[in-house]
Amino acid sequence: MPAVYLDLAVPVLSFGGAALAIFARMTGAVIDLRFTALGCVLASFLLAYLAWIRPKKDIVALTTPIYALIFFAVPLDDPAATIILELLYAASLTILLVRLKYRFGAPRTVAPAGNKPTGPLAAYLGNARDALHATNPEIAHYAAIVFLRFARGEYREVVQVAGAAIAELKSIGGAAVLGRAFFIAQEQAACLEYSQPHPDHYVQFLPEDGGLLAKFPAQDRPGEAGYDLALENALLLLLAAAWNTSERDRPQLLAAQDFALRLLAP
Amino acid sequence: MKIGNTEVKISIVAVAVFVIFTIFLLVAAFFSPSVRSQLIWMIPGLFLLLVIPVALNYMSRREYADMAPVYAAQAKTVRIKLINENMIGKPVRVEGVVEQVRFRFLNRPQFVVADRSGEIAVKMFTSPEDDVKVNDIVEVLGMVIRRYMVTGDPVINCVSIRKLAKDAGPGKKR
Repeated sequence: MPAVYLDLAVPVLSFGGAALAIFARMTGAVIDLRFTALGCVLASFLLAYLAWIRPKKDIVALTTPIYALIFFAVPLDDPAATIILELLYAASLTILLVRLKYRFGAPRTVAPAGNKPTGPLAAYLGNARDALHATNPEIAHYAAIVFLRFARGEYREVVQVAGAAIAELKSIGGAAVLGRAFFIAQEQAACLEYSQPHPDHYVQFLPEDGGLLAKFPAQDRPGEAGYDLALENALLLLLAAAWNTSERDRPQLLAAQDFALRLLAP
Repeated sequence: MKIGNTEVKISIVAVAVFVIFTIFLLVAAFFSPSVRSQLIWMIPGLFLLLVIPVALNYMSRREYADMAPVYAAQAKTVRIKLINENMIGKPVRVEGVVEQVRFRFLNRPQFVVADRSGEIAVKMFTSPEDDVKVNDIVEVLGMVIRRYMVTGDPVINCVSIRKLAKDAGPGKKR
């Protein structure tokens, strides 16, 4: 069963039981509230199961069945108090579910099917398509990895992968501008990994690369501004190469779209 | 106020609560003999309104002081523009200028720090060691989190924010 249905079942069962109790009370139907509380109990076991199947275990979610049995094994004398308890418990389970998904779940790397980049990013990727469509697929995959690892702040890995890409480019040949992009990413990732300030002399794009770059040519921006711009252009160029040639990496690239948009912003 | 090596601050809100309840107690004791007979436990309870916030602040400041070296060893110095939601959970170090300070009076200050590449919100859940004001050049050490814990744009959950010397500005070579 898809995980999303299991996730939805937690609030549906818990709030559903409470809703049934409220409905029974409003209509005057005589019903043992332990049946309605069963919704909260089942939701607790389901939440514990969802916590159990995750690589990182959430002890709070795992122990909710114990609390459900303690709270609902013996109903309260006042039906209204029982209903309020069910509602509060259902709300607590829902909050725990959200916490479980975002603190203990796998990171989001798969973008929704059918989505594409939009706005200026889409325009840039489209403009770069003709120049980069002949990129070797292996190089394009390296470009995707460098972009994604940079987005995640994994600078040491960027240095390694960019180095491998540069070696591959030297052996098979390819667009020189991509080589410069990998060099820039590697150099600046090394500075970030060791928290070094920017060097006086750094790798930059050449004037003839200007047509492929997303932002103003780096030569027009001296010092730190030029250093920052070189990296932004390099990462965006690598994204364009990866997007236009490596279709298998597109879902992950789409998930990192917000990073690309930040780079593209002035 | 220092307890051991730890600078402890009490928020103005806690002081105000103490003052208000002291006034209530004095008025009640003045008009009601039954209240006067309970002063033996009410007065210590009143002082707990100050002691508990101070103790909590001391505990949180100690914990943050212990965490700061761990973060300092793991954090990378990054430009603010590179911080994005793919870095949620990563320790980072940024240097910049403080553009805004809010909620300092609650001992839960929130800053907006800017460097040459952009600006970012910095949230701290205890009082900072330095008295950080607008236009101060600071080094922020913390973890990237979502603004509203489970949703929102990336912000920095600050473990340490300290003022830098004026000549050690953001992005400048040391």
